[in-house]
Amino acid sequence: MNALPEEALRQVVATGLPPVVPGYLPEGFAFSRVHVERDPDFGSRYQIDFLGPDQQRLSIEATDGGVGDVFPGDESFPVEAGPLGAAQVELYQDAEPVELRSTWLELGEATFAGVSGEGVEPDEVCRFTRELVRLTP
Amino acid sequence: MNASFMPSFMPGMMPGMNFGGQMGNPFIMMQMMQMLMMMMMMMGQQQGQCGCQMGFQQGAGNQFGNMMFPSMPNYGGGGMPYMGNGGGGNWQTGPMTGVNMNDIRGGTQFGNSLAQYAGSHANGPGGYCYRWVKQALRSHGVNLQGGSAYQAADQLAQNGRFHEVRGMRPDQLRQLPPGAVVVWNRGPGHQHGHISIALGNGMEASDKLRRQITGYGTQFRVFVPNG
Repeated sequence: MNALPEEALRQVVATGLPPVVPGYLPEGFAFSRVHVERDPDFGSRYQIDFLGPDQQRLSIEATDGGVGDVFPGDESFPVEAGPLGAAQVELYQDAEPVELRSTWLELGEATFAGVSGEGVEPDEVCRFTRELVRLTP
Repeated sequence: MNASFMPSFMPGMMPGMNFGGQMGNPFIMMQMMQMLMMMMMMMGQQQGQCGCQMGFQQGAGNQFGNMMFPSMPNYGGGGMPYMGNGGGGNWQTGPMTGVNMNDIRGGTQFGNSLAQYAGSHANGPGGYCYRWVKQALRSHGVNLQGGSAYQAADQLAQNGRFHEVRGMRPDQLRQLPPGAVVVWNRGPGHQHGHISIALGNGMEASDKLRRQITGYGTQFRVFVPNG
């Protein structure tokens, strides 16, 4: 499954970061937009957003630097993301809508990917994270 | 361990000490644990002198105990920091005796400007503290390299716009002047560490605005802006 339009994938590939796409999307979710940053000092970053029928959001993010720890949330859910490694999905219940964020998955030397979500059930975010697919450009 | 460094309570902890059959007493056990932890902290200070390695995670206290700000754990608690030198570099080890905050209080024009920039740009998603702090520093002529937050410490130590303040206690971090940069080391459960800019009012800014973290579970280094 590749839920990305060709143009969006082209933008992601152009960052030089490994393209990571969903292997699973919850029912009713569809690609919304891709945000790309390229900076000679800070490196590259992309964020691919998928929106649900009630504006819930699931995103894949990747960056080649500038990261820190993802802080523990009110609840943590361990996830095995296949070849991308292990992560924790952190749930921040006090946010409105509820926020979720995975710890960073290492894609290579100082290159990381993660998942974030708003208003989505933790199970869905965990499955979304578990089934991420790293494409070979 | 250097004998001259042995704390006064140590003779009572020498091997062979008769505990009078109190080993099963929870109160006695708790006291022994506290003494043991104090000894380990003292040994941690020794690490800086002899270069030996010793690592342990927080033992007492619960750094994730109480909520202090929405969506974030309580990093304000005490707890014992991870004393290992996971991030390499010149990290502070052992107990912090504290510094005279009057020596660094007040702030500078550079620090005020940096804090103002950081505070007004702390709009990130979380997990990008180093990116946001890099951006704030770059806007003030300080360029940092590296992918993870803990990597900033050695660079700031070499940068003429800051001077490092050593020996600070965690509870003093909320009294830092505007623009002071706090870098937390990596360690178990903290793969990348954390970095933030003090706003001068007990708050810190990176990609998020939050109350200054004082108990992260790893070691920290503090860099105060020069004039």
